[in-house]
Amino acid sequence: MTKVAFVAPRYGPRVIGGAEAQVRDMARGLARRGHEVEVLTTCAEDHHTWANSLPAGVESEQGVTIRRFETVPSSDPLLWASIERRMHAGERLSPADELSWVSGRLMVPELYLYLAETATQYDAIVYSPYLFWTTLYCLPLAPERSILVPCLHDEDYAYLDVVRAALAGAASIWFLSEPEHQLAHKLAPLPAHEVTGGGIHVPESYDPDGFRGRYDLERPFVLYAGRREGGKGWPEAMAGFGAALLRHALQLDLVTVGGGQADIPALLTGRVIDLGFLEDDEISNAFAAATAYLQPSKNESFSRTIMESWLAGTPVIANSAGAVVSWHCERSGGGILYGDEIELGECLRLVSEEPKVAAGLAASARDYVLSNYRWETVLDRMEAALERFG
Amino acid sequence: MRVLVVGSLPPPLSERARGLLAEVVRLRSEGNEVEILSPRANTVAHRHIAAPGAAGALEVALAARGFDEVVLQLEPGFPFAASAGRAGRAVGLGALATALKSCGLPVTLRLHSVHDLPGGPGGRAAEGLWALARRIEVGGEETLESLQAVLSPETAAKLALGLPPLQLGSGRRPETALVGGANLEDATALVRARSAADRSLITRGRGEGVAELPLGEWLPSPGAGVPFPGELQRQPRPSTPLARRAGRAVLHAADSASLTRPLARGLRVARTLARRY
Repeated sequence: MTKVAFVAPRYGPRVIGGAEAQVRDMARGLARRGHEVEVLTTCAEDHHTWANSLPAGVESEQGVTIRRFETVPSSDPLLWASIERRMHAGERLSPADELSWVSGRLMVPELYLYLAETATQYDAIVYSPYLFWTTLYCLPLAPERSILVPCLHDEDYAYLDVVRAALAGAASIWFLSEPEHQLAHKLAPLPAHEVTGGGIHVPESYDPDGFRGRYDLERPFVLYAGRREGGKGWPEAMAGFGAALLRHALQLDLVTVGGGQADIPALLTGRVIDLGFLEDDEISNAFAAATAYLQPSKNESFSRTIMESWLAGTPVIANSAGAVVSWHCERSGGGILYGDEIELGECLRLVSEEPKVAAGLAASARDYVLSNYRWETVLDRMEAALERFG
Repeated sequence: MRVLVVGSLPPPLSERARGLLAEVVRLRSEGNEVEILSPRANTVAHRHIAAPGAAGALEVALAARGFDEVVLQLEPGFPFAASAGRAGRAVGLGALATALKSCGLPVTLRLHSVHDLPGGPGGRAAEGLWALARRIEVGGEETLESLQAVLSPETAAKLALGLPPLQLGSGRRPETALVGGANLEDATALVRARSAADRSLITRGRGEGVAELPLGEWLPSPGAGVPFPGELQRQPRPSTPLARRAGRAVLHAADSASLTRPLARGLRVARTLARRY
């Protein structure tokens, strides 16, 4: 059995995000299998403010020891914003600018010092996701025992030299999907690596009728679950949904659950329904109750939510600009891709008017998830990879 | 004990930075509470010094309040710019000596390499600094000898070799690989065909239930991330007071002209210090 540390910028039950949930389940899963697992993380829950909302110190949860360290705020947020603008404008950044950008959101010096003191006590140290201070600064402390789970997206940040250094400098990399793996090959010379995939818990049962009843959902609905923010395509999803309502007089609502402000336009009040943060079991029920799941995000390295949707027997409507989600949809046959708002509207029309076609798509996709992404399967792969570190 | 460590940790993972990291690890292992004040931006630290030279020395003195001991590493760029002339060097070293003396705390000075101190370890200004140290740690024999050659016997007695740089691993491990499918085609074909028809209708501006709707405003060009055209009920953004915005604009303008740049930077440093202390 190995002693493993997971280094993540945020960790906790109220932390929303695919990479964060992945780290949480990896840690808990390996702990259940008898590995000694610790999580080294910050006291922050909000990835905008990075405020220390949780107490620093040590706690234990589901067999995992969690060590929290306080974040130190950026000394110059204006500089960070200016570098961010220059990066998105395509300007090549200097190494100093790159470091200023990485340090501009959060720094966790106590975590760094703790790792400097204790890194050799761990057989392996898993860093995830790729673009945070906790990964880019701390990984070089003990590269020989570092495993990077980057959760890469094809975005400007991925092309920074500091990211290239982390990809090339880790002892091993675990990818969540084949497109992510291919993207990494374009970015850096890679060390030992494998596509372990992400893991999904299979709910024992679903309660779709109960879910509709509890939230007074009278019309059929499409679901969006996750962070409601621009980077995840939420504003475009609402705009597309609104246009489809007008164009096709759809008898569908859009129900959303998750974090961030939904910012529902007045025009769509009553048709876009924000249920806020729900517990995992209730989210599973939401997936089962939905007519389809809408995945507008281009920036996914695995996309747990589409897997959860397919497990619940619900088809997916997804943005074709996302390489990873497109790859899953094509491999599983469980998701229809749209390239623009018109196609999104027709996808919504299809699932609304022809529910049998939609259900047929989802049936084959459930098998796809069960064969490839059950946590037990994924943990087997991770354990095999960890043997080399033991 | 609370120890203020002034110096640069990684990145980069230089010998000097790893030497200081080894010292920090040692201090913490002895139960001390350590805080790091770094003269170099973007390095691992609890705080960073806002300005070089005499203002930086003042910041060290202010930051040291509440600590029991100071460990300070002399390094390129601190306490004077690497490009500084004799006067700049004297002002930087003198200001730092004055600042440390004003703290009244035991001070350990560190010099990783004699090359880290442009102008060498001698000179009146440097002597004043060495004299106030309780202990002087150096990074190697060469530096030790260089300092012994210029320091008074009394000051040279404080010299000692520092800890070796923290060794960070660089090993590598072997390689592996992994993994390897409905009637999606029909559904996709249907969506594409219907979308083509929609586009045709929109282009011609007519069709069942379409012409009377303001589609030109609703529909962005394909692929564009156009925001929703309706009235957005956004959360009110926290507004910055007008005076602060005006202040920032003035500072920005002053910073862009060489004549007023020193003034702008001085004001920035003063603002930072005022916020912190």
